[in-house]
Amino acid sequence: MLYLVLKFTHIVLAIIAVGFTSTFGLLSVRAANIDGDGREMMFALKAIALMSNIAHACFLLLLATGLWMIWEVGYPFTFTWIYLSLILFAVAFLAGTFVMVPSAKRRIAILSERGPDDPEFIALSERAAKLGPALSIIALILIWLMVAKPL
Amino acid sequence: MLFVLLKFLHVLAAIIAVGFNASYGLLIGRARAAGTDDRVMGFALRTIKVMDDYVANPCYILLLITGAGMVHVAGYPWKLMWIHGSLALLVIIAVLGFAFYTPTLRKQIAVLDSRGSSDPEFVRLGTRGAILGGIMALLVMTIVALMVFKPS
Repeated sequence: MLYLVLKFTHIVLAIIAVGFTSTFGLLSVRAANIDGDGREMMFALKAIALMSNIAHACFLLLLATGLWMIWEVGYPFTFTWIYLSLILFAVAFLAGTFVMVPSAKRRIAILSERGPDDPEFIALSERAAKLGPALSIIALILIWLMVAKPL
Repeated sequence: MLFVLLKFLHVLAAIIAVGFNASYGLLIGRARAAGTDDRVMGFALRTIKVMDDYVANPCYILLLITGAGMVHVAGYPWKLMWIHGSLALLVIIAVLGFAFYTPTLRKQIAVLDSRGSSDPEFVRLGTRGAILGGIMALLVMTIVALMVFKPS
């Protein structure tokens, strides 16, 4: 029963964390396609920053519930799907914490001070647009590992 | 292998559909926090409409197809409670979504464009959308619980 409760919590956390982060690309692209004073972009970035914070908390809880399930069932850490998913999770989490979140905060600051045409704002947006899909691919591989469970 | 592929698509579709749905309330809340700027609210509602029409709803259809596919491939009987129960709930969510939530969102955008966010009908539609969203979220969580606990 404990395992099922943990699994349910793990899945709900994955839905919120990965689901929220999946919206960032669409939000950014739609905001970038609107000409104007950057109001929509400011809204999008603030929403992204808020959802990033929630997603980060969920990712930490995902790790905790995942490790708890491994301990509960007694899976060895030598299983490919377990150690590989832990490595990919660490890579994605660190990239999110040290690149994506600071980038969103920096872009909010630049946007309010210098507007959407500032070269630094454009450069940071381009970097985020490149890193976003890379993190999405990692998320896809993680989901595949969780489902297929290769030994 | 086919079952694992279907399960992967099923889980992925669930994460995207429900995750996108979960962001709607947050986006509307943030747009409200932006003050009386109707342009921001309009952007938020139109973005939600795009997310719902082109991402979340197609993912729900994919969920139904891959779910039915897994039941067929694995040979699960439809009479199992977690299967027919979740299917019934998915149908209810689809009806709530297509017949009530989407038209509410469409009307909200139209009222916002013509009369602004302080219009009483816009406020009333916003409340209706929030209630519908809450009910649908509860139903989705029940489906996830049925998928995990699999009561027979």
